[in-house]
Amino acid sequence: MKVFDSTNTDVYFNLAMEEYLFKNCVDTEYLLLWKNHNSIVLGKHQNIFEEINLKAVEESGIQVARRNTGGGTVFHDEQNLNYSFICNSEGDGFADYEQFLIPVIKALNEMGIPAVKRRTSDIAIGEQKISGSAQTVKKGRVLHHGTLLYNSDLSLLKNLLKTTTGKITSKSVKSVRSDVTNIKKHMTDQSMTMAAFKDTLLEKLLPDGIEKVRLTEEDIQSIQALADEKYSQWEWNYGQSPKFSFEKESLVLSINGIKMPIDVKLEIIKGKIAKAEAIVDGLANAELEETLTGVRYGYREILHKLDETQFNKTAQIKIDNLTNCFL
Amino acid sequence: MKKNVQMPKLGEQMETGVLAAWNKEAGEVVKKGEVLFEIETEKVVSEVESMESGVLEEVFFEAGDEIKVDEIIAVINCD
Repeated sequence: MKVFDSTNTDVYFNLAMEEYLFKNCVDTEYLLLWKNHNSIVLGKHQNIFEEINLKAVEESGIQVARRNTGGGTVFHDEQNLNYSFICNSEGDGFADYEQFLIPVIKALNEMGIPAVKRRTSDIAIGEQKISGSAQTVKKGRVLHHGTLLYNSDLSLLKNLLKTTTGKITSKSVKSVRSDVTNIKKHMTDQSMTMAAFKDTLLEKLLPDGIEKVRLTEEDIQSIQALADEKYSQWEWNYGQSPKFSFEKESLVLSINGIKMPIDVKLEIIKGKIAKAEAIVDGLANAELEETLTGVRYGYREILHKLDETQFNKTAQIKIDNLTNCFL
Repeated sequence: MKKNVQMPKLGEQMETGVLAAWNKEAGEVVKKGEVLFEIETEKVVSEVESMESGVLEEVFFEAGDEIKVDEIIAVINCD
């Protein structure tokens, strides 16, 4: 098994690196270690619009990325260590978690961390999760990856997750919120840095010797191209969301104090508003409906479109409040 | 000739699978070996490749549907 320890902390690069080594170097088995700068990472089949607070995420500038494996949404920062096993299995193409989780748990235990397996794909200390994992399988080749919360600042995540009074209907894969804890809190050696934790974990995982590899210039170029063309693109991160419908009834106050009910129904396909229904004060508003049809579903996009409407000029509603009727 | 596409059994315990995404749409040309759809179970994404070349003529389920193993989910016209 070859070990690659990525020094790049760009989430898009690292996800592209996984896909590249998974799909192109099919005779080689890898253990990858990588960390991302602050980012939100979604499962492959999730509806991003159901998971994140669009306005807060757009304003925070935090990166959002869709990964190639299943499951729910997680937060990454540079105090969260990700590991990936890329292996060729001889089974029927359906990977199991134990073969990857047991060695990780054993390595943590040898470091004095009382980690245990929980549910199918989690590692926990007591009742609190320290690691989640997920997989993708293609023709007997398995990518298993997991997070290890070492000393992450999870408070950053709080206001970035979805909150809406609207109703979203879809068949997407939902996130399951878990109570989490950082590994460092449970270490006897409180002075251990992330770098030392990573090196120790690696020694425990591969006690018979570690074969570290470097990426060639050509590999790096191919990976960067995949990151630029796929992983950093709106089409992948937002546009891949399963279709959904959105319904919201709002009562907005105009600047001159008039209450106006606005009922919105949207159909969103591939991240764009395919059908919009906006009923203002009991009457369908064709201008709003036409303006929003075909628009990418997002805070800034909708605000910008609404701002240009005649309705906005006459209704005297704060543009932020009007936009919120659609999110 | 028309060939049925069935929900594969990917593990001994598997009774149903969630068709998480279609990689082809009805009416599209499909080549043998191309990824036709994806299944997601227990956070595992499995890419399922087409065993036939032809036109994806009919699709009976949409992304997000939970489907029993062996159930017919699509028809490929191989003519």
